[in-house]
Amino acid sequence: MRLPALTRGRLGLLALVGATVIVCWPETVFAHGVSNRDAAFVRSVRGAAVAPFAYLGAKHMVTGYDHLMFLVGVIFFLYRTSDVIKYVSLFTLGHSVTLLAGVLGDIRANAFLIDAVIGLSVVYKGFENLGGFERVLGFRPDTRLAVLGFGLCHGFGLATKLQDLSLPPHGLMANLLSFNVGVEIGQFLALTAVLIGLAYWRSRPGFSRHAFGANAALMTGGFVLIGFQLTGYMVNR
Amino acid sequence: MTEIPNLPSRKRILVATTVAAGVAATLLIVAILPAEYGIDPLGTGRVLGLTALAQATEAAPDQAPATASGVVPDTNALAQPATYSVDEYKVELRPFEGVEYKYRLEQGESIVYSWTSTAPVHYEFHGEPDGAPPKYFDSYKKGEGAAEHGGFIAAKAGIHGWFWKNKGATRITVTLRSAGFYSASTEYRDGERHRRTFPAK
Repeated sequence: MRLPALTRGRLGLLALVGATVIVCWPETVFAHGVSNRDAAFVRSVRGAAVAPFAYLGAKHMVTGYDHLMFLVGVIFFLYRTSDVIKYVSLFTLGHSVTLLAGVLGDIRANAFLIDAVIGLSVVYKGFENLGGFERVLGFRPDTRLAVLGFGLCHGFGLATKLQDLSLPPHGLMANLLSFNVGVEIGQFLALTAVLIGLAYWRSRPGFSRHAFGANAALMTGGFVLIGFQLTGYMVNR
Repeated sequence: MTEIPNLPSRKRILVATTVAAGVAATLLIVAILPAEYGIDPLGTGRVLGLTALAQATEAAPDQAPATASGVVPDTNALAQPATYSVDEYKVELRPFEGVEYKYRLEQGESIVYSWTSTAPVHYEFHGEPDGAPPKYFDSYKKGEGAAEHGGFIAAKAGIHGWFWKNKGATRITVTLRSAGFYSASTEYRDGERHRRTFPAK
């Protein structure tokens, strides 16, 4: 348990503030992807619009529950700040590469299939957190590689969302980088809230018992995403 | 990476995984698929009224607020300035390429138009009023289609016209024909603008 400077009371308060930020963010939870109004804005943009794109990136991350579920899974059992930084950096590296490459190279992936893989990443991490790989398969694939690989998938997901918006070519690079910076800001905000919440939870008795249920719940969420997206793929083909 | 102190048993993990998949499947079949896609294998969506959600999204596409509110005069005979022009605009769009073409109209000025495309194209009929903040626009009509025909009276002075985007993998040609009381049009393509003026007749 790190973060020794913070007392339990303060942790609870901070967790509350963090949760409030997420819940009060416009159109949280059900506004996955980018809303129609934002899409209309993006289509109408000519030239660089740094702040709006950064905002959209941050909004996408903070309201994108699939990314958040994966991140919760990744940092669930990371107790050391250095570990958190290491794994989150791998994830960031992965999704930045594919976000930029996807949009600039105009590589189009099917959004439903990509989102299904993102769901799979949530299931994978939940299963790994349960110790499933050791117990069931007898070995655990390298977590760093998995986080990097799924980071690449998440970036493709971000790229398809941006491509759906019919990005005007003018100022594309600046807008894309702004969006990516926004994604990192959003990820930082969300991570802070999650870390504070987790730190508080770990300080409570019974955490290890609840941890099992929490990761099973994470897997449930991942399975729901997979089923939802695969059905979407088949319906919209 | 910190190990989980007491790794749960193999059986417990498999049970948890199965339960997770089962709960997910139940949620999907009972509520999510009926509400999102109108797929309702057990009829639960109909009983719970969830399928209405899926139907609502299909019946109400984005093409809502079209006409200019409050500007259409009471009379059917609409006086117009002496800037009557006829225009034909033809553009070839590469895969995933988009273009905008807009007419300069003062408040109350009108056009009739008809555009066709060699393949379905994403379009949005919209206008940018004078003095509006940067990047602001009013959307009149949007959707996916290979043709659209209509008339339009500008509620606000500004530039009014279409955004077309080729979402397919082959080249398409969009042809717009219009007549109206505009004196100029502007094409926005590849970050450049080309202005055309129509001489007074």
